[in-house]
Amino acid sequence: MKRIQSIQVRGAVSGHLLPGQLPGSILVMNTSMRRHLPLLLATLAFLSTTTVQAESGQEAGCMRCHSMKTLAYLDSKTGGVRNLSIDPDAMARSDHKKLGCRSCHGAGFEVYPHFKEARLERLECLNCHKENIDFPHELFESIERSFERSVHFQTLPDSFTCFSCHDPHDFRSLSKQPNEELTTVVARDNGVCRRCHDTPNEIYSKTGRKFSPLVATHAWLPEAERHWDNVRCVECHTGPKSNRSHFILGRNDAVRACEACHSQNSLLVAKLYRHRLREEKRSGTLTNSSVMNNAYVIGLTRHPWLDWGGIALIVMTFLGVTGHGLARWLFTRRDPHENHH
Amino acid sequence: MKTTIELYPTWIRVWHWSNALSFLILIATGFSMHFATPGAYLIPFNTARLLHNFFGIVLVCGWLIFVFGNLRGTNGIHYRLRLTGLFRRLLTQALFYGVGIFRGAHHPFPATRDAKFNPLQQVTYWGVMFGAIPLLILSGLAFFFHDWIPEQVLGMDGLMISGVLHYVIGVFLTAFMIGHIYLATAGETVFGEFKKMLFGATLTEEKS
Repeated sequence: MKRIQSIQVRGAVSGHLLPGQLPGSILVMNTSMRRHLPLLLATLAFLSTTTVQAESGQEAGCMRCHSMKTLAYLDSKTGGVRNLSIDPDAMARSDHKKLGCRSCHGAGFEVYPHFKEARLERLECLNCHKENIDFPHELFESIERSFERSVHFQTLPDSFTCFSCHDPHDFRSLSKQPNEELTTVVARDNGVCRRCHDTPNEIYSKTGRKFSPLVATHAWLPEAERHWDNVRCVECHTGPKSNRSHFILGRNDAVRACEACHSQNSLLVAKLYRHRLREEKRSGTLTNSSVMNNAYVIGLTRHPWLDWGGIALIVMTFLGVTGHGLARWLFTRRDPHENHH
Repeated sequence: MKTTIELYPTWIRVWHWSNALSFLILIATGFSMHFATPGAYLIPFNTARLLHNFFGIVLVCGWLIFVFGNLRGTNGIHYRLRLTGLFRRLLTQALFYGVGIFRGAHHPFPATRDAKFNPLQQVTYWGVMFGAIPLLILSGLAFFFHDWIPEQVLGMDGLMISGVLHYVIGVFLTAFMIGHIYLATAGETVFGEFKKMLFGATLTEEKS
């Protein structure tokens, strides 16, 4: 049987991973799928009805091919399919929506077929984000430091990059989504982690290690699925005193103390709810409404009035019965015979 | 002809002390979880959660035993509210606790075979057993069966209402327990009521 080593799809650079393409989008295929892959891809590519986003000149040109949902090629190194497709809707919602393709992609991509130099392009997020006065330099320096300390970089220093998690064509910062349903944000964020960690073949192809399923590694966590629906993996898998979501911690260092989130001084306030609470403070809306309006979290979802009301009731009851008991004792002491009348 | 009855049969005493233990543990663990603070908790959160779940189920079983026991046996008679003159009787009992008790007055409603509770006790116990506890149980069970709860109610998490209700009822029942323990010292003697609930108490009445 002839083994397919590579597939050339119109618009893609054959058999090579372009720097900046997302390893996360690899689909591992079985033999039968590989056999039919060229036909499948070609058919789907031509039948694809995805509309090309109306963009000016250059972008429209790029998107004519790259908006096709099936634009991909088989990576001979990993045996996975490299996805070259860009969802125009996702791009239009992303933080990078105002950027043209050529803002990041260099000269090799100027024309089609792309020049050979395109293969050598090494994109770095920090080229823009650290060296541009439009972005807070210190923040991205801190992100870089956190990333370098993360379990991902420590384990895979040569292959783990920003693009391993972030798709620049669909990236939306938590701080810029104050009105989006938090469960949607959480699902999207956790999807990034689960894309590898909940897909044994995927993670094996990258690390050569077999990871236990998430349900097994999180068997200690009560209501694990409910947690995953409502909070991000990074709430626990980043440092307890840090809101730096790039300092990813492995299983041995991750937060396990329930009180870390289930308390008023919750990590969620410092992490997941941070931007919303800041926005609330700025706009002067009801204090704590972000906390009260999201998932009910025992220990965190507390209202000061109810807390003080409850404490006051207990204290008053206690003082009431103590006073009554003291009065009974004093009256009995004053006239010990009276009780027998 | 004289008849003797047991005011606190064994099943009532077992139920009562099981409730007392459950209440104490549920209050401590509930308080610990609600006011959880990293490094300064009363009980570690996960331990508190497990204990709260377990004794919550014990409380539910106790309540079911209480309901069926009262439906089957004769104890249910003490929970039948007589509305005629209730307000006057409540006032009389309140005046006793507010004034008479300091003057050594006699209890205005001594226990009888048909009414072992005084009017204030009867109304309070009725409200607790048929109002507060069922609501506490339902709002607590909502956490076990959260899939049955609507995801959103009034723009908030569906569990918000049951969570807040559970907390508020828990606080009132804690206050009830403090009052209940204190008033148990206000019987004929300070420890008399405790002894009755521990060892039982017989009541002899002349039957006409």
